[in-house]
Amino acid sequence: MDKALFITKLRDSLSGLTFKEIEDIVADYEEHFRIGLEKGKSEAEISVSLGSPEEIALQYTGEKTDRAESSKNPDKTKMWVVAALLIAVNVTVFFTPLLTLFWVWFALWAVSFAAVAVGFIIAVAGLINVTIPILNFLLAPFLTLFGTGTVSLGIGMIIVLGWLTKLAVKAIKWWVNFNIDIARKAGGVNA
Amino acid sequence: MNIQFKKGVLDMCVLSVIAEGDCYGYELVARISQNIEIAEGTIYPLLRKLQTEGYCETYLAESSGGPPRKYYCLTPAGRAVLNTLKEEWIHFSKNVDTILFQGGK
Repeated sequence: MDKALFITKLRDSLSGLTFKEIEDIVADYEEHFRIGLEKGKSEAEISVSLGSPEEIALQYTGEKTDRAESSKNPDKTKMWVVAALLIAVNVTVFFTPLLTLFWVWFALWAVSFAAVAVGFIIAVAGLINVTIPILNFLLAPFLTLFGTGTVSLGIGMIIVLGWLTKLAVKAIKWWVNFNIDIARKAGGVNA
Repeated sequence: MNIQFKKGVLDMCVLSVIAEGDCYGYELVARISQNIEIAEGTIYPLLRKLQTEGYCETYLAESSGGPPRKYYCLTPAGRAVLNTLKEEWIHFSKNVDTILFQGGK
């Protein structure tokens, strides 16, 4: 079993714990894999010595039986009231800033692609001037240089934007899960 | 080895390793599994339990050329409970030996 499969199985078997607890536990095993790999072991070797993820998970969830007992009478109404409140607060606080950020994000993507396209055209124009020197050929090398620079800038922006987008998606997911946890806990409802 | 034996002494063993000096999870697990054959993954739940019981704490420390590692250290309560466990163990194992090898006489 490789690391990814081990972590997925562990995560699945831990459902019932809160999002934060699961993340904390998974982080311990990720560190274990990381150091094991540094010491020259393979993912398969490490997961064999760790043992079955399902049984490991049982050790964590077993300790939570007291809480599971207490949530035998979950208060769903309370959970939904808290959820509605959280949604209201989130919409009030985040709607305008997020909408603004979304348009900035969208504009930056447009600019990046435009830079690649325009830069490419300028660079090609420069090259054509070199081979067919109809126009002032002295200008041609500068056009190519300028065009290539613009394309590089565009590609650089696309890479950075892609990375930022991934980060933002991760942050939003974390925040949503965190809010769901709050609502669940308020109602004493287990996942 | 009998799994019940291992379960009974694992808490004490983990506390003892940490008592020798703060260490990160992988190192601790390696030291235990070098001496006792065990599914290594079962030590992390134990570490978490010891934390909630207030016997050990964690902190992050930089490692050479890698992301920071989580280190475990003993609390005064952990040290106290380890001392008690050790004393009990010495007493207990001596008595078990007396029964095993001398029929309890």
